[in-house]
Amino acid sequence: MSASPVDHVKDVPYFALAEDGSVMFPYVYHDDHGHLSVEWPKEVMGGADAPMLFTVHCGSLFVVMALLLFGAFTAVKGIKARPAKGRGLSSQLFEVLVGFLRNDVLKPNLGPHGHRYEPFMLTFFFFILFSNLWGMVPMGGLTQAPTGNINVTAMLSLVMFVSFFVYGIREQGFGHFVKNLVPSGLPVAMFPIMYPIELIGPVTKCFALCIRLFANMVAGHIILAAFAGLAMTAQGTLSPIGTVPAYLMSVGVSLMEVFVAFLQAYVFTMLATVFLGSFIHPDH
Amino acid sequence: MGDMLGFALLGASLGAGLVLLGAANGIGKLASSAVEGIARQPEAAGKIQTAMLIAAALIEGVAFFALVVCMGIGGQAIELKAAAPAAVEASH
Repeated sequence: MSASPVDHVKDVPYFALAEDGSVMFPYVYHDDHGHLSVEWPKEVMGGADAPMLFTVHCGSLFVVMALLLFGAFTAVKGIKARPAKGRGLSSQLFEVLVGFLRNDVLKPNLGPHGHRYEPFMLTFFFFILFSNLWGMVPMGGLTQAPTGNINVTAMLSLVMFVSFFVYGIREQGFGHFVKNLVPSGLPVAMFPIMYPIELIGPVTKCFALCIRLFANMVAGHIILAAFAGLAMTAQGTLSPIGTVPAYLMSVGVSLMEVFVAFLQAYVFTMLATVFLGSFIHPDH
Repeated sequence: MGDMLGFALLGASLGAGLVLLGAANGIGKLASSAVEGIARQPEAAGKIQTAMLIAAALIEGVAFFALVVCMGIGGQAIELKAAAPAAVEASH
């Protein structure tokens, strides 16, 4: 049974934790036709009683977290320890990105007192960036992008949704926050119409953020898997007419995917900053 | 129910194609305006490029909504087709 490109981007479990805490590994064997086949213990394929699966996305999340912590601490240590000219690699990388984001995105949008929220937005940016780039590392069976899982992007957008209200109320006070939800100078009779509309606003915005990031990552990796499969199939025919364009397209699409990784992190951060700014200090 | 699989997949793939038409149309207009702006005022090229990239990413985001819907329909149609013969046999 041939695998479709979608199978290469789906979430695959490494091992499963049963309810009693024991670890179950899949059983890999050669079936009757000589193909490799994977067999899971029967308790894993369950409905409501399915135990927790440790999947490749979950492992990639841990790896991305380790990379972020290590990179950020090394960068800060490098900036503190050395003069401006002798900094190391991670310091320069973080400094360039943080400087660009602060000047172009964070400072204009977060308002005069918004410097408290800059680390929050920068965390989003670096988490999404490192997650997307981890998916571009080869060995796709072990290194998938965590943001290719809709649960991860839904978590990010849920955090944004909650932060709109929490930070909005913290900055403006509850009364002013509720008053500033609707445009000023509105007749009172239109309040029952405007309030539900304004409350649906954050829901659709966060949903859009979630789906945009998820679909970009998943669609890009499906295209990449399709071109890689095409290259392998063309190589099997030993003819250069099909093989060379397939390999060139694979390289080209990979480069575009790296660009899309940066772009999607930037777009998520910019939109989140604009939305948060509109809740923290709405323009009068 | 299995003979409706063709219609379902046809709908999903036609939907994806129409989404492509709409997104490419929009991004094409955007790119033409951006290039024209850069041609008029080359020193604003950096800002125009940034704005163009952001708008293109947003339009692509909308296109990806519909793409995800089409993928979901296609996957569910194939799943239902695989489950349909069992249901038909159970009802006999």
